[in-house]
Amino acid sequence: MKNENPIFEVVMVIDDNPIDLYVATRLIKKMELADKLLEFSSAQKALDYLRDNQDDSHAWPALMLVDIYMPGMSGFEFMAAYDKFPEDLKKKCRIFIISSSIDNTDIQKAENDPNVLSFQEKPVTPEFLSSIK
Amino acid sequence: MNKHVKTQASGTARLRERLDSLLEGIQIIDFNWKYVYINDIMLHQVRMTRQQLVGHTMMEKFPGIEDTEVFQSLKRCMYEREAVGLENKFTFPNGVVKWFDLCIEPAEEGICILSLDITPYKEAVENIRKTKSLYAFLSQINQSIVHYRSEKRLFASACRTAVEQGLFSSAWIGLIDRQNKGIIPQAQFGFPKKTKFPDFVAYESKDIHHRLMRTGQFQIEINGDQTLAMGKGYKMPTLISLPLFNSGKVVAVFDLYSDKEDFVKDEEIKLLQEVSKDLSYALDNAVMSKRQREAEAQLEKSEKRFRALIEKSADMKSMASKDGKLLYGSPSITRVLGYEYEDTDRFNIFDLIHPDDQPYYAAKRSELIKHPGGFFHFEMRLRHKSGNWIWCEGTATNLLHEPGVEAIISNFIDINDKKKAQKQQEFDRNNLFALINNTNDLLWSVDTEMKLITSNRAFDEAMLTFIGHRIRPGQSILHDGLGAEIAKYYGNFYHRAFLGEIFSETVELTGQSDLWWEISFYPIREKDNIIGTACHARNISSLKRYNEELKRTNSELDRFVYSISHDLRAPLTSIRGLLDIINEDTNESSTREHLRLINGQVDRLDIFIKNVLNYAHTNRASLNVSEIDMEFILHKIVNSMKSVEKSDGIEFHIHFETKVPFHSDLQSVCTLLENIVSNAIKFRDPSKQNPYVKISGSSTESGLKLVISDNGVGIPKEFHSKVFEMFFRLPGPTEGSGIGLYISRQIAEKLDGSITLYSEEGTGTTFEIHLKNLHQ
Repeated sequence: MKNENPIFEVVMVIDDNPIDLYVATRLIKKMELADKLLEFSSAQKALDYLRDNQDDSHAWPALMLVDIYMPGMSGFEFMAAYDKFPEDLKKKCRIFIISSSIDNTDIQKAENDPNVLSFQEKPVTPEFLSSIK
Repeated sequence: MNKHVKTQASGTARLRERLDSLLEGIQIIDFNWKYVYINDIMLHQVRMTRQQLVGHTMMEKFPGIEDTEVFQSLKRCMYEREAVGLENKFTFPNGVVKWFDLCIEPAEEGICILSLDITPYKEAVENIRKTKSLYAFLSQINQSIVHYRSEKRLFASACRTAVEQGLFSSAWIGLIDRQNKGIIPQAQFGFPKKTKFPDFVAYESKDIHHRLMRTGQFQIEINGDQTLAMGKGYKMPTLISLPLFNSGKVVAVFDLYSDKEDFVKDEEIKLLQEVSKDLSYALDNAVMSKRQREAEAQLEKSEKRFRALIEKSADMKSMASKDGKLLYGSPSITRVLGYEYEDTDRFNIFDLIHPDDQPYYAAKRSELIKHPGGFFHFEMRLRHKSGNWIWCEGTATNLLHEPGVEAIISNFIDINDKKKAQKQQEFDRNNLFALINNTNDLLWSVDTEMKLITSNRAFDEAMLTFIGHRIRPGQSILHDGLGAEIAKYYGNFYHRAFLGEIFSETVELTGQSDLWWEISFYPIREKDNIIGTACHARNISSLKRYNEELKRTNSELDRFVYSISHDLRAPLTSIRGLLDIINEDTNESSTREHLRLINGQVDRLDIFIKNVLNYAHTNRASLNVSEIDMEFILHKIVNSMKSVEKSDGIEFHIHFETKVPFHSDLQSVCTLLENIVSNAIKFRDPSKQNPYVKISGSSTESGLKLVISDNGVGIPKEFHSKVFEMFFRLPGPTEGSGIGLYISRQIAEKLDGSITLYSEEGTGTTFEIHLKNLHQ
């Protein structure tokens, strides 16, 4: 399975729930999807990282999994801030919103964000990860 | 008897003496109609001597007797030997008329006639009858006097009364024409129908009328030639001609005919003179009222319309004596109170008045009697002939002092309908007052000049509270103390109503904390014009508070449900993730089996949470209507279901035709269909070789029709009505929360649709869903 999957240079996972974060990173590691895996339990910290590494193309994630409901900055607030980054940087990154919410408003909001590829219901599964092209 | 006379001479002599001295007349007639014996009384009665009669026949002495009725009786007794009794009027050859009570009995010699002279008795009876009728005549005339103001009608009535009450055969009255020496007939009664009544009756020298004119006295003519008035064919034994006076002059004659010669006796003549006097008096009255009418006619010219109005009114008039005896009643009394003219004779007006009204009326009337010319107004109930009470209102005027009137004159009208209407009105008003006062809502009405027309108690009390005093009808509704701005604010509402708008406004009372009122305005129309507005104000403060509270509670509940679902689902998904990892890591088959069981339970919990979420959504969220590609949605739902383990081997058929694009709330439609399809999978029949779920339908202008059928286990009939209930679960091992179909039905209803179940145990289940097309 892992041979078929493309390798992303940098993968970032933002989730305040340690178990979900653990499950996601564990799967990503196991499937060897990432050269470098960035784990954030706070959207603010993740945003700080992105701001700090705007100029480092190797540090910029190619795949991001963003949870919605987090204390402090929510996933949507994070996405609003993310939108301010330059287009060429944003183009390099695939973003999925992952959440246990099945609220239609959340789903619609996520899917309507031009920077988001799609909404994915938790948990993150091997099937989902392997479907990412 | 003769035999006795012969055989017992001495006895016979005594008997003869006895018979002779009897008061009863006795005659014995033999079979040859000859007089055998006549007693003294009888001789006196017939005014003949014994010698003149005995031995002679009856026919000989009284020629023509064979033709009389009495002779028939004598014959009957003579030949049939039968006793007969009868009263007989007998005219003697000398012209004397006598009445006899006859008793005819068979005797040996022939017949015996006992006769009693009953002439005095007969005359007395006849006199009484005549006098009685003359009295009736006189009293009728008296009545007529007050009843008739017109000469002609007075005369006609007098003639009729003379015949009907006075026992005259006929009567006529004519006015004297002095210039042409004649009489102009005015009225007549009792003449044969064929009689041609002359227009003018000249009086000739020494005839009865001439004599009357000369003497100014009544005249009597017995068996005279007085046929002048009636033409040649009419002749009566007695004619009495009475003069009628006006201002001391003979102005008319009253001719009375009788078929009896000796009709009039002294005392009767006195009565007739009374009649003449009374009529003269009435004539005076008539002339006077004629003058009065002429004067009225003058007045009429200037007050014509007013008069017409008065005369057309149905008012009743009555004249009553000091003690209340009714002297005169106008014809309208008959119409209104039902009494005939004759009935009114005996009335005392107090008999007509309702007992409850009597004290007031009596007091007023006795006060009135003290004030000549005074009057008072009354309103009282009068007894109708049928016994009902009729409300009348009118005026009583004291004209007791007025010569020729001498009565209390009353003018009154029937106000029964008015009273009834008044009563009804009063009832309606009380009813309405009770209704409008039995509410805490404020009710009031305002005219187009912004003045209060009427208000209920609640309004008055509210004004007292809000502005410190009541607003009275006629006062401005926009109180000065309101301030210009508020007056303008409310004034605007009234103006809208005056323009015909019906509307309600919610108003927060300024200066009052949290006081909300809903005020409704409804224009009052009179024909095409708006004359004001009816207003209704309802304190909706508590309603408003409840609403706010409810809204707050609802949104709290929404947030609660939302956060619960999120907070519950988050750990579940974490568990799922971990289970996935364990599953990846282990090779132990028993561990994998346990993981599968755990996953099943997690799924079940997850579905339940999702259902609760859906339920909350269905109940709370407003519809988000958009066009739905049903074919796409159906496939998507079925595909998502295919991943469910239990769906293995089930064949899904989808046939959908979009005739008109279907519009509805996407999420609700999806939830509804997911529930039905997942049930079809859940309740598949493992014993069947080719399990299927068939979905067919179409969307049209009116809406969506979907039929979802399966060949699953089916639902027993007894549960058909229950499956849509909340938390109902079919008995058996199948897992489920029992909320799916409940939500489905909720959704169907919310989307203006329906969901119907057809199922048979062991055969399968079919749901038919109709949803309205919500495009607009």
